[in-house]
Amino acid sequence: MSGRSARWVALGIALVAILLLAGLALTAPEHLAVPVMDRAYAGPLDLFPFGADARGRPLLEYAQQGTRVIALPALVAGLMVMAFGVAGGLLACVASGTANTLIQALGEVVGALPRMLVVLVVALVLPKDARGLMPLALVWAVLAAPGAMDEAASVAQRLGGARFVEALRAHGYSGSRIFGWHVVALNLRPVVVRQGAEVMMQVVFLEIALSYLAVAEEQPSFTHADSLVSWADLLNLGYPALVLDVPTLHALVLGLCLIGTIAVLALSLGVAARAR
Amino acid sequence: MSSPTAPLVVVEDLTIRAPDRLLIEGVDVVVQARRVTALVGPSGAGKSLTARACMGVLDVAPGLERGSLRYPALGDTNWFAGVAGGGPRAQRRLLDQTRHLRGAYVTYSPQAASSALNPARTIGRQLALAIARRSHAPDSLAAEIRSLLDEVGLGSDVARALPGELSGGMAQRAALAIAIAPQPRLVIADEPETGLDPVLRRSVVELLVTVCETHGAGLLLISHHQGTVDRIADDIVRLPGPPPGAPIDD
Repeated sequence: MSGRSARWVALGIALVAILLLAGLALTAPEHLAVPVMDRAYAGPLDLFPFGADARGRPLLEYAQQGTRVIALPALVAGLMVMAFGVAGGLLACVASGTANTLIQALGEVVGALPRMLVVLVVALVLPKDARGLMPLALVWAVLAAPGAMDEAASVAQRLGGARFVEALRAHGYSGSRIFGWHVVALNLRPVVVRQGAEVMMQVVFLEIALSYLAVAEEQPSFTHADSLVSWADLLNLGYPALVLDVPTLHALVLGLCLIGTIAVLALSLGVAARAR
Repeated sequence: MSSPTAPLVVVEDLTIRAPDRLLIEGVDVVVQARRVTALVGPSGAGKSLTARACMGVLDVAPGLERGSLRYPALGDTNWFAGVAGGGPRAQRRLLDQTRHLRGAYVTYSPQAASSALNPARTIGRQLALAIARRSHAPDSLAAEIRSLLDEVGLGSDVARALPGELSGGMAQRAALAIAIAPQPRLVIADEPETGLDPVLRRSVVELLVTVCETHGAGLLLISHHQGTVDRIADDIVRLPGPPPGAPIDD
């Protein structure tokens, strides 16, 4: 497949993934449906497409709410890191060596911080009503930003930095075309999109990691971690046949599908950005 | 009214200042069609600054203190009028006003070919963009690209290559093809031999001169190599060195 075809295919896949996530998130109900005990443990064939939980509430609603919880912070964090990366690359093209050294030093200092620990501290410091994935995702993005800026700056410096800009200026290009098209769209794009996609994935796994902590603290939650724990318990009891029927398995599959969709989105964006 | 024998560029009394010192003072440059004018001087003398000023690019503050820039082959306009003492804003205005000339009337080949070539675009695409700056489009773009590559001694398959896939000498030749693609009247080459071995250096510079002659263009060549200058230059502009202790930032 040629580079151009690969790009369009990857962009198509990314678009489908984005539409799926956006559709699920936008249609997520504010509250779960009223329990209908007659539908308890209903399978996918009885209640399309995923079946129901122990109280007869559709698992699709869990998936929609899960998407809303994960997708928006992940996307915002990804876009934030991309913006920082672009800024780092552009600074390397126009700013002095001092500015670039400062960015590099900032990247090294922030990069040395244990991100998960910082996120946990922030989660503890945040007021209870402000706790959520969004502020944590933003903190994660801020911690990832200097690295993205540094990498984008390295790409810009390999281009020739200010000399590259000077050469394009000598070709008669305007400032917006030089920086917007030649520097960012053609040369920084692969690195900043990859950085953004990486952070998007990291935020998704951050949510999963935090879910495990919630389980450890015995807080009421319905998370991927809960699903895995329930599944493991059932396996341990020796009822593998039962496992296939319980909604936990559906929920697990749902969670994995959600993660998979975001992984496909991140990977296809990366492929599209790299394709020539 | 411009004359066909009028000089391509005339810079007079060019004086540019940095906040703490004069970078260049009283430099005169004239480039005629089909002639090679060499700009020589030690590092930090302001050769690249002078070359950029010849294209209307002034990017130091406070910048132009005095001087004039004319393209007599195009008309009698003094493009530096109102720029002296105007600071960065006037210099940005000049940059906008002269943009249509850069990449068309005058093209520039920077020191390192890697800076002249966009690593994310094939050589063919970059040549196509440069050809698009001509006043008349060629009948066949593909044939024109092949012809330009052939002229600088590169095969037509190079059109599909990215700059990173070329050797240093090939990249320099590709940069030269891009510089001549718009059919400019004036080519400014900033140390085109930088980073090349002695054999390649000689062939690239000779190719540059030959190609400019073939196209009837004038060449303003910046060079450190006295041998190169003695061999090919018709006119020489010598810049004095920077004052002792001044930072070298050419």
